[in-house]
Amino acid sequence: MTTNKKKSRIIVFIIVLLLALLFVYPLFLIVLNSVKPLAQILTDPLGMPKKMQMAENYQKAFEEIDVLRVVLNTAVLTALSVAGITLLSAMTAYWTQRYPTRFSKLFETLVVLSMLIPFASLMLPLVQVMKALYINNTMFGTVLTYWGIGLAFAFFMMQSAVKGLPVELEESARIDGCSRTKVFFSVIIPLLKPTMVSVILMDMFWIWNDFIVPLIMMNNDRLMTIQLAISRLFGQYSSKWHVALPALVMTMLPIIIVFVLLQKKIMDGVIAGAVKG
Amino acid sequence: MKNRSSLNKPSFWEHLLFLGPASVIFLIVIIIPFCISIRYAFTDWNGVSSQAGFVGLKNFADIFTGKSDFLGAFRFTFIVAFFNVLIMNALGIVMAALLTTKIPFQNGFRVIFYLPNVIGGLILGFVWQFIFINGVPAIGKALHFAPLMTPWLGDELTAYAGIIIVSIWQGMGYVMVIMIAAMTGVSSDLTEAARIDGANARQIFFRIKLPLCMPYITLCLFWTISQAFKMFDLNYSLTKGGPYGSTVSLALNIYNDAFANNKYGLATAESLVFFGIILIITSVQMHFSRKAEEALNG
Repeated sequence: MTTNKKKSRIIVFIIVLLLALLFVYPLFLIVLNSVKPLAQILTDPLGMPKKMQMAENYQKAFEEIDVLRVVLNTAVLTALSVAGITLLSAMTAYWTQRYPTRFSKLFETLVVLSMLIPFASLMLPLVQVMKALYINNTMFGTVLTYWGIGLAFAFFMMQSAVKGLPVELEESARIDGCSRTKVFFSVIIPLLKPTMVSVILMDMFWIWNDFIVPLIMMNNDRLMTIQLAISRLFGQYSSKWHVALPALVMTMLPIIIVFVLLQKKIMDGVIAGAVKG
Repeated sequence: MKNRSSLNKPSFWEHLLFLGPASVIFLIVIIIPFCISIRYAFTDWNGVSSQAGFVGLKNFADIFTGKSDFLGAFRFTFIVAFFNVLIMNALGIVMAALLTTKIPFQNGFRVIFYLPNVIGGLILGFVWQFIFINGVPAIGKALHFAPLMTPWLGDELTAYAGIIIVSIWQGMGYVMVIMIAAMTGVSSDLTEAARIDGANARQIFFRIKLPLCMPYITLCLFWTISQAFKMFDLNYSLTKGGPYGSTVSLALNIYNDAFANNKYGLATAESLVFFGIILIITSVQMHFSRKAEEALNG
């Protein structure tokens, strides 16, 4: 019985291992070919590199998409957007829960309903609105867009966290003379930290990888994000794989490293978000 | 006394501080654009000129009679959603079942299978563009297998298959992670009791574990549907909507009509119909997840 069990466990392990190898093979091929000369990429994409051309390929790609700048742009855009979403959602979720008014009820309903609107249904007039406010094609306009479309889901997550908080703690802080604002920032925020971490991790990956919002909202070479730069590179360099592939590797690397380092927290956040959303 | 009353009622300024900024942002980003799009949907505005003529329901008539490309995009999206839902969920559940059998390196495997999910759809599309253009034919040659030697992205049927393969490769990990959480959440008392009563592993899986995981399965089903319906990056980068516009998704079609074809009015009408479709899917989802929850609690 036990040897049978052991055997079946080994078989399952081997199956899973093979599937995992198959799963990462496409990414492996990209890395493998990114160090080959173009001629070998085209004639022999599966073989080992006959001549290592790593330095040339990566340097060319590095200059071509200005990696440092696009990574910095993407990081700033992501950080500002995520920080705003987290703060706004915590404030509004707390306030609508603790001090409901007719306005806050309306606000709550509209925010939750907005989760149903796909971005593609808003994007065309949104450009008009941003133009009218003179913030189209700016970092601020794009960040504002993320604050608006990211609010609903984060609000939803925060709301269920706020519902679980004991009122007694706030009351005693209030009796001790804390203002409501102070109570929020020094009592509530620390209590909401686990939910905030989930929201930050989830929105961070979304915004870092998002293409459609910068494509529409940030038509500005100086502010180019990773996604926009890669898209443009493939427009110009299609089939110049010795430049395109190293660029792909370099742009995938940061997000893969962050994921592997924070994997436990990220997947917990994914599960929490799925169950509450 | 004054202290007490201020305990219960926040001042106007406090309301403004907490809800004001979010309300303004929400108004600018969601409410105003949504109202504007309703207005433009009834015009023939081209997106540039200062004039927009009122055309009544013509845009909607064009959408539903197939004069615009909307129906084609809907067909593509529907087919992708159909295969994604079937294959992604089946694979995700199988992988979750395999990974919860206490095999070594469970966590490492979980990371590997979830990995494509953290890389953006745009980059993955370009990764697979290389795989389909150069990798697949080379593999076909090495294996002497003719179906792999054709240019996959150049033919309608295989381009469909390509997009489905890549989106399953990307999204399967999500289903797997959720299902692992669901399966490990099934109380071991129950499975133990079943084992003592003489149930075998297969019976325990199909009769006990899966039914108890039903709410999570519903959740994954609708996640996969709505992911497929909101697709934009992947077909933008993998096929650019080709060959001959056969792989244009709903969102990409709206984008094309507005920014490439200068049919802004038509595109806003399409975006409203798109909203209607998502609304229906979500309502059905809410109905089913409530039912699943009731079944679980009742």
